Amino acid sequence: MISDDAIRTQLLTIAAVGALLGACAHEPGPIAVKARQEYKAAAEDPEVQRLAGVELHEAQQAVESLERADRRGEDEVELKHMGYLAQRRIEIARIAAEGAELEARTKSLGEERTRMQLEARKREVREAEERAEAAEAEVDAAQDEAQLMELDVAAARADAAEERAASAEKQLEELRNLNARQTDRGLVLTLTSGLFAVDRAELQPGASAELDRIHAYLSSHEDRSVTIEGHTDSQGTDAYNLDLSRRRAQAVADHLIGRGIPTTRIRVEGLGEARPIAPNDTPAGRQQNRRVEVVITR
Amino acid sequence: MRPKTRRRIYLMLQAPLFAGLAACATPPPHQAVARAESALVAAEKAGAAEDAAVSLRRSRDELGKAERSMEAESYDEARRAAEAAEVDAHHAMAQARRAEARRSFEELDEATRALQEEIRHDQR
Repeated sequence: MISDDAIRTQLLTIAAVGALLGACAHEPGPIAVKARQEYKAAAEDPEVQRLAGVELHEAQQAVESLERADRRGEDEVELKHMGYLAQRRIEIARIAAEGAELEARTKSLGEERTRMQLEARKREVREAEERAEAAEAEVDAAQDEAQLMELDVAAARADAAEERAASAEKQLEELRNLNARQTDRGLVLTLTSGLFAVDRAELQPGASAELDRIHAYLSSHEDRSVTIEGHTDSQGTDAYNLDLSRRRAQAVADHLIGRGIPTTRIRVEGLGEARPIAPNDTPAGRQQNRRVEVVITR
Repeated sequence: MRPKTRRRIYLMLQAPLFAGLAACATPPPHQAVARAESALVAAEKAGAAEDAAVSLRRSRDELGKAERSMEAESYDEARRAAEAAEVDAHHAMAQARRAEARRSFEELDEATRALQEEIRHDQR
């Protein structure tokens, strides 16, 4: 049987122990004080609060158990040990905050970088579009220019064709004026009417109109040369007629040379009575045979 | 007060006193050692060997001390060493993670600078 006294004694004992412990709590030891100060500094750091909540809580628990041990009056070895644990926990909280801070910066930098890449890509696309537009415009301009050039070429071709046609017509007109006829030897002009008097080799005044046309032709066609052939009728000796025909041809040549046609473009030949173009037994036939032929050659 | 209730109160009041005595007879700190070991392994995996060599070595030394104390049946010493080994391993782990974060940041920072340079170059 346990008496009331026994219980009373027990209660007094516990109160005494409690009072002893309470006395210790009033005077925390230096290790506990230092740990509490360090914890307080870390806990007041907003970065640590924000980024290392779990670690800070663990540090707080370590400091509190150190303080309890201090109040319990644990020995120096144990208090030092717990002080070390508390100090390490506080350091861990600070390190964790720094790590988390770096991670947060990495994250926002990554977002910034992605934004920059997107910007750059957008700009590239924009620039490519602009280049494409410019190239298209260039192609259009080139096509316009090519079309203009084609028109120019066509116009030039038309001009040239017209010119050629005109020149061919002119040539034809000129030849018609010369009274020429096409033969195997080339273009032949026959000068008959009244160039020379009988047995004479001097040009008569009326001859100049026909010679003017030949001169005009040779002046405007510098690539052409002429062979001037003299002919006679059958009266007189062959030798005499050869000489006469030669002098007549030479008279025509001299006339042209005198008016500026170079000697190199003129050949003179006397053919006498060898090539009649009409019978020699009538005065009209003989008249036709007393002639000079101008053969135009290249 | 009935005798039975009285007896119960007496026992309840005695319990804390016995508990205090029991604390004096320290049991082997198997759990503390196990926690220290796993914390050390985790720190090594996180690359603490390069980035937190000092804390990691301290953790290993303390763990060695804890094991020797266990053999010597100095369980208080063993517990303290194991607790120190654990906290040092956590310390090493935090340093390793911070170093890794710093490397990532610096790599990205450099790459971003290069990108900025490239963009500036393109804009010219």
